[in-house]
Amino acid sequence: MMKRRCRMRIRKKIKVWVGLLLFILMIGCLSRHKMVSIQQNHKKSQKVSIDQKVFQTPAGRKGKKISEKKEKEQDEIDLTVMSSTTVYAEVYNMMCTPEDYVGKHIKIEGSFDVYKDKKTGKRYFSCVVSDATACCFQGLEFELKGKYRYPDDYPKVNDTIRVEGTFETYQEDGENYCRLKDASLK
Amino acid sequence: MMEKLAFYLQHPFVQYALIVGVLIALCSSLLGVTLVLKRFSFIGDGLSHVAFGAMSVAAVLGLTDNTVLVLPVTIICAILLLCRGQNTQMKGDAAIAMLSVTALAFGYLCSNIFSTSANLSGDVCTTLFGSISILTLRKEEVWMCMVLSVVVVLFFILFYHKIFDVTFDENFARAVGTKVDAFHFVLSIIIAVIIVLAMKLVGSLLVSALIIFPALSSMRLFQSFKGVTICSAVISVICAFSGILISILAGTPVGATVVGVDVLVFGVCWCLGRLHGGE
Repeated sequence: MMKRRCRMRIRKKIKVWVGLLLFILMIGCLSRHKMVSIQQNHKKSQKVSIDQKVFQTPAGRKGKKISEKKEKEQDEIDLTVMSSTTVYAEVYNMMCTPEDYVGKHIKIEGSFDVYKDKKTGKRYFSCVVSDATACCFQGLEFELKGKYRYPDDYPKVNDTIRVEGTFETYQEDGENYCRLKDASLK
Repeated sequence: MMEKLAFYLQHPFVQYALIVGVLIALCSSLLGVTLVLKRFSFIGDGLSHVAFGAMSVAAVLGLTDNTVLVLPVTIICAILLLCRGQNTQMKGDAAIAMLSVTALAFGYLCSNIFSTSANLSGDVCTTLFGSISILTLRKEEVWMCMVLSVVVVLFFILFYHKIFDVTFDENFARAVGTKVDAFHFVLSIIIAVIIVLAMKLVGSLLVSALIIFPALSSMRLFQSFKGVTICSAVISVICAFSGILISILAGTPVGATVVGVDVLVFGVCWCLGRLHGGE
């Protein structure tokens, strides 16, 4: 009788631990599973929205203009009108998921910084933003349109600058980087 | 103001933050009532520090997804803390304190000695105070949070009466056939999961506020367990939602702003409770 009770207790404990392990595995799988569907990617890549094809009447043409305006707004991200918390978060997201921002026109305001690669001698210019507590900093590299010479045509390090350009990704030495191309300083 | 709010709400990361923030606040408030009544208010702090230590070790080991290490370690520590029984040499508060400071010190030591980050103090600060973690969520993390929140809410609804029994009188619950040990086991796992999620909203140091303040605020206004639980959930959701919006508009750290709103609401509830003749 005692042995039978012991066996039942052991079986119960085994069931509980197996259930726990399965639960942890489920959470692990959920955290890795990518939810971006192929259909969503296909919809994003389409430049002409389905709504625009339906708008033929005068009221519909107004709707088409509103739709085009919305598309323009979605292609432009103005970080200069956002709070420091959201600016930092948006730049952080740009670094984490750059594919969501490629081709978009970005406006950003922050501190100017420059980094010189000791091996290649190439200079990289960036606009640095900080979060609300000013303990975390994130920089967004930019490449000015036209011929500019450093340091004559660039601001001083830590000067506040406003940059706008088109977001792109590029590869260098096998690593992926992000920057604003054809940028202009204001 | 409304135009600015509408502008921010267009951004996916703000939508994700609001969804996850509200769900985390809801889950933590539901279990917060039980924890406060069972004198386990500081377990949130203890487990969040354990999670911080596990995160540091995961970073040192180079794990791309630290949830693989953080969640199991936090769950095991939660089980050790909550399933210990009453007749132990080391009482609950001492055990929580011991585990909490050990994990925090060990985690920070590991991060310093085997540093893999370019900005260690920034990463530590973000993890401890949750300044922007909630605003940098991926879609997968949002889905995971939604699923876990549904599980927690369902657990609370389905086992409401058992939770009530075990919270107020464990011996009575045991006498009527409730499997108190199994209940503690499952509760430990759920608390650990909620703590790990809640760290994204308010950071490691402020997690206790999410658990304690909504429960305490509602206890000023209601006397029944049901009333306190529902009021706690409502207060927590409103505070989290408004805290996130205020931090986005004003450019303040998210975690501290949410806790600030919680404290403000507690003050208001305390005053209302006093006006209506409460303690």
